[in-house]
Order: sequence, then structure tokens, then C-alpha cells
Amino acid sequence: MQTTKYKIIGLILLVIVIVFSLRQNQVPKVEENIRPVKQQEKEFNTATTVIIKQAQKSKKEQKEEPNSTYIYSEDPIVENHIISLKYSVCQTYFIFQNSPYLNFKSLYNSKIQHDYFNKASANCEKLNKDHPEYLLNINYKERITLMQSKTATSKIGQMLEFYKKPINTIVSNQEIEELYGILGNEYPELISYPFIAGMKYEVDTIIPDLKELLFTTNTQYVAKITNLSRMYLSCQLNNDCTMGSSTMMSLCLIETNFCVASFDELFNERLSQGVQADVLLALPYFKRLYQVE
Amino acid sequence: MTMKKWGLTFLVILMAVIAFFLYQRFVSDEKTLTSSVVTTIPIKKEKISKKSIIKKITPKKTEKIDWLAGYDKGKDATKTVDLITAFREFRKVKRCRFVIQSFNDNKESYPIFLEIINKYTRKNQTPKELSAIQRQYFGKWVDSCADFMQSDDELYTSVHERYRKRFYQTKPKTKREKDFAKSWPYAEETRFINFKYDNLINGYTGENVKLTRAINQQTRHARGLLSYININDDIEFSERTNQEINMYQQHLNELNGIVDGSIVIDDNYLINLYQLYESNNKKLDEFLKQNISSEAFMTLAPLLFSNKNEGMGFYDKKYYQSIMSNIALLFACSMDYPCDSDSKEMVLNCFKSSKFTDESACGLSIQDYNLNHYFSPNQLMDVDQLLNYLFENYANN
Repeated sequence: MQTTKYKIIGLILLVIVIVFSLRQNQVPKVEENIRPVKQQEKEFNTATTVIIKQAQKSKKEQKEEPNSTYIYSEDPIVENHIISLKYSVCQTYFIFQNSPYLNFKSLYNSKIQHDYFNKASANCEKLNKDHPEYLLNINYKERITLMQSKTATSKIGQMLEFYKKPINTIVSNQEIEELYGILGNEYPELISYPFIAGMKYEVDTIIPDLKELLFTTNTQYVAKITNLSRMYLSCQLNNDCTMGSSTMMSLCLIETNFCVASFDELFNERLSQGVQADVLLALPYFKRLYQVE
Repeated sequence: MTMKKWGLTFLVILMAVIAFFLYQRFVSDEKTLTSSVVTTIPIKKEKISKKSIIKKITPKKTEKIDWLAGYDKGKDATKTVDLITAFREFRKVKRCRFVIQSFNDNKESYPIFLEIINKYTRKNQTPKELSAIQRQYFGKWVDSCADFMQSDDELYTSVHERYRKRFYQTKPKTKREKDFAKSWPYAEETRFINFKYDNLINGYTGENVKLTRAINQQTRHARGLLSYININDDIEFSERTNQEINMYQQHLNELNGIVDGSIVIDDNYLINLYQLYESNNKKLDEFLKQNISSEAFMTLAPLLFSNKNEGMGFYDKKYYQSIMSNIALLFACSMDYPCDSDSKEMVLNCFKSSKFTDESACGLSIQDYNLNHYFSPNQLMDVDQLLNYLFENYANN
């Protein structure tokens, strides 16, 4: 009897030990963040803390007033891109203000371009004060960190974040054409934006179509007409094309003779006859592409 | 007793099993511990020899070419021609280098050609290949290169020297040839003046690394041109070639003087430089107005017209520069410039450029290609505007 007791106790002990050992043999999850969370928070500087607080505040506001947290798009990625494009001159202004090494002169030698930039950025301080939600005065690293914390909620936003997808991701022509339709009708500010997702369509469809339309084999010339036509169209769709806009500043940086008051003036007085005529010839093609009339 | 023995045995076995499982747990603990810790690749401590580092950082020696290899003065049967023909054929021989070298090496030219045009193609890009039409013209061009060889086994260096020697010895006789002979030194002199004007306007100090590098580059350019002319000391140079040699020597002396401080970039120097710059541009312009050589026009036009966009009514400088080179070519075609489908420009457009080739350019003349394919019909308004300017000011035929 005693022996049986011992046997039973021994067996129970054995089972316990086996079960305990088996549980210990499972590999635990590797922690993704090795450093404790508190330490990571310390690495953010105060500007970013302000952004987070503002974001939290806007979430609160959203509960109270659902429509007041965005200006151009509910999708935070699209919102940020449009604001960055529209106010790129001011963003550049603040980058120069905050950097001891960078200034306009170090990047661009022409006095005309320098004076144009000064005129275009004259209201940036006031704009930043009146609209802190534009986040004009944050540096590039902070902007990237902020963008990485957001998720696209629309097709356009996903296209803007196309660089995150695997390198061989293919977008169908239908999707691209749909995207262009949305841009033309809802976001004309983004018509000239170089979508990575659209590059294949550009090379395989748009450039060959325009070569046929313009009767030229010169790819560089076709690319030039494509860019100008897109700008022309986005200006027609009420995108800001006056001095201080990113459109005019980008043109001024290419050519000092393009540092003028508006795209209208540039088109009528600074482009050659041939280029003007070809832009107007290509315009209906882009109107069809962007589904606007 | 036996029962006790069995009981004891059983207990011992039990303890052994427990010990075994405990040991397994201990080992697995170590495994889990290591799997939750970031693994680092162990640093292999290898002995790195100084020699291997020196080998990596020593610049690679370029192969020294014997430019007179195979050249036999006694067997040189190159026909005497006028200076312009001598120049055109010499230029074509240089463009045929890899073809003739492939004949010398008993290799096919096409694979070597593909290697050359794909030299800068990245790994993820599709290597370029010629289409059937382009290959047809490539074959024709290879055959035309073979025509320069005196014999099937003549080395490229020998072919090159025969045509080079003839070019440097030929004297200009007609006005066309004399205009052409003047254009090359004018071009080199203009480039040198422009170099000084662009780079020395703020003076020179040895501490300015960018400027020192530019001066060294210019020095190498002048030295290179001199050594190229003087490959063969058996050549009796024409007078214009001697003048050219003197000019390069003067350039070298001036550059060395700037570097060693014997020439001081003071206010007087800069005033003289500015006046020289202005007077040289005027001199070029006056020369072109009376010039009748198309090659002279093509040599000097880029130097004179590249910054004149606003004077010609074009505010878009890049666009103006991109079309001006083609328009200058169309103007040169109205003189005596070779503009057929075998011309250097059309061969480049058809298949030879490493950047861009256009099958529609194959078999076409320069005029046909530019007016019916390259320029859009609307661009012809700009072409007409610039051509009118050139004809009004520089047409002399």
C-alpha cells in the first residue's frame, strides 16, 4: 500500500515536472522595442510634443465639431501634402531661419531669384502666427516623423504613400485613370505632383500619346510640354498661381526670367510662340485625362 | 526486501527523469534568453595587411597606348586632299576606333558596341539593344569604317596616325579652308578667355580648392592638346598648326604663372581680362559674318550664341539652348556642311548615342529629320525666328 502511494505521488510529481518543462520550452515573443517607452518619449523635443498635444486636442475637438480639424482633405496624408505644396515657400523660409548653415544664397546665386524669394516669403511669419495648424515652422525630420505616424484613409493618400509598398507593386491603368479623375475634380493642387505610382503610366501611355499629338520624337520637349500643360490646367482650376505660390517659385528657380507675378504673365510673355501653341494643343488631352471640362 | 528494492529503484529512476527535465528546462531557458536578446554578428578578427589597403587606394594605371604602333612612313599611301576633307575624314577615323580595333582583335563589332552604350546602364535597367532597322544602319557604318584601312590587318593606331598626320600637315588654300583653319584656334582662345573670365573674377589664392582644381584641369587640357599634336616628331607641321602649338604653350605659361604667383590677379589684370572678353566676342562675331566655312560656323556658334537668348527674343534659356544647336546645324546645312544620312549627327541620332537613339532618324538627312520628326510643327515658328536671324547676319554663300 505504501509503495503504491509512493508510486502515485511520484507519478504526479513526474507529470507536474513534464508539464512545467514543456511550457518553458516555448520561445517567448521578442520584444520589438527593447528600450523602455519612457526613454523614447524623452528623445522627442518640445516642438514634437506640441504637435502631439495639438493632435490630441484636435481629436477632442473632432468629437465636439467633426468638420473643423481638416482644411483640404480628411485624409491626413493628402492634407499634409497639399499644405506642404501650397506653403512650400514658407516652409523653406523657416528652414533657412532655423539653420545656421543653409541660406538662399548658398543654394541659388542669382540676385533676381533671391529677391523673388524674399518677396514671396514676406508674409510667412504672419501666416505662421495666424495658422499654427499649418505647421510651417517644423523641421524636415519632425515632418517625416509626423507623417509616419499617420495612415492614409483614401486612395489618393495611398498613392501618395506608394513608396512604402514593395518595389514591384503594379498599379493598373484603370486605377491611375481613376486617380487622375479624383485629382482633377477634388485636388487640382496635386495635378503637378509627381506620383511615383503614375510613372509607368506616364512613360507607357502619356508620353507616347503626346508624341503623336504634337508630331515630335523629342522626349525631353514632350516632358516640358506635359509639365507646363499640367500647371496651366491646375491654374485654370483655381490653384494658386500667383507670386509666393509653389508653382511660381519652382518656375523661378528653373529660370530667372520666369520670376514674374503670375503663371498667366509667364505663359503670355515669357514662353516662345511654339511652346505656347503646343501647351494649348496638349491641354484638351489633359482635361480628358483629369476628367474636367 | 525485494519490494523495497523496487520502490527504491523506482524512486531513483523518477529522480533521474525529474533531473533530466529540469536540465532541459535550464537549457531551454538559455535558448529563450538568447532569442530575446539582439543577436550580433561576431566580429571576425582577421589580420588585414597594409599591402591590401595600399593596393585598394593606389590609383589604377591606365594603359599607355603606343600611338605609332604599326605606322610605317614608307607604306603611308593616304591621298592628299584639301584641309576640310582631311579634317572630316580624320574625325570619322576617330569615331571608327572601336570598329577597327574589333577587326584587329578578330571580334564582332556589335557586342563591343553594346558594351559601350550600356556602360552606364544600371543593374535593374534593361540593357539597350538596337532594333532591326538600327542594326542595318550599324552594319553599313561598320563597312564604311573598314574603307579607311589600307590592309585587312592594319592596326587602328596606324590608320589613326596616317589621317592625323595628313590633317596636321595640310595647308589651307581656299578661303573656305582658311576660314576653317582660323576657327579652331579662335575657339580654343575663346574657351580660355571665358574660363579666366568665369573663374578669376574674384582673384586667385591657393586656398580656393575649387578654383585650383579648375586651373589644374585647364592645364591638363592644354598639355593634352600639345602632347597629342606632338605624337610624331617626324611631322612637318603647317603654319597654322605651329600657331596652334604656340597658343597652347602661352596658355600653359599663363596658368603656371597664376599658380606660382608670378602673374598677379590684380585690378589691372581684371580690367584687361574684361576688355579682352568683350573684344574677343566682337572679333568672333565679325569673323562669323564673313566666314564661309560650315565647320567654322559649327565650331564657333555654340561659343557665340549660347548666352544670347534674350537678344534673340527667348526668355527660356534652357529651351533656347536646346533648340539652338539643331538650328545652327540647319544653318550649316545651307553652307557646305555634310548633312546626309551618313553624317556624324545622323549616325548619333540613329544608333550611336549612349543616351538617346531614334529609329526614325535612320536613313534621313539632317534637314528631313529635324523638320519632319524632331521639331513639332508649332516649334517651327521658333525655328523660323532663329533661322531668320542667322541668315540676316551670318549668311555669306
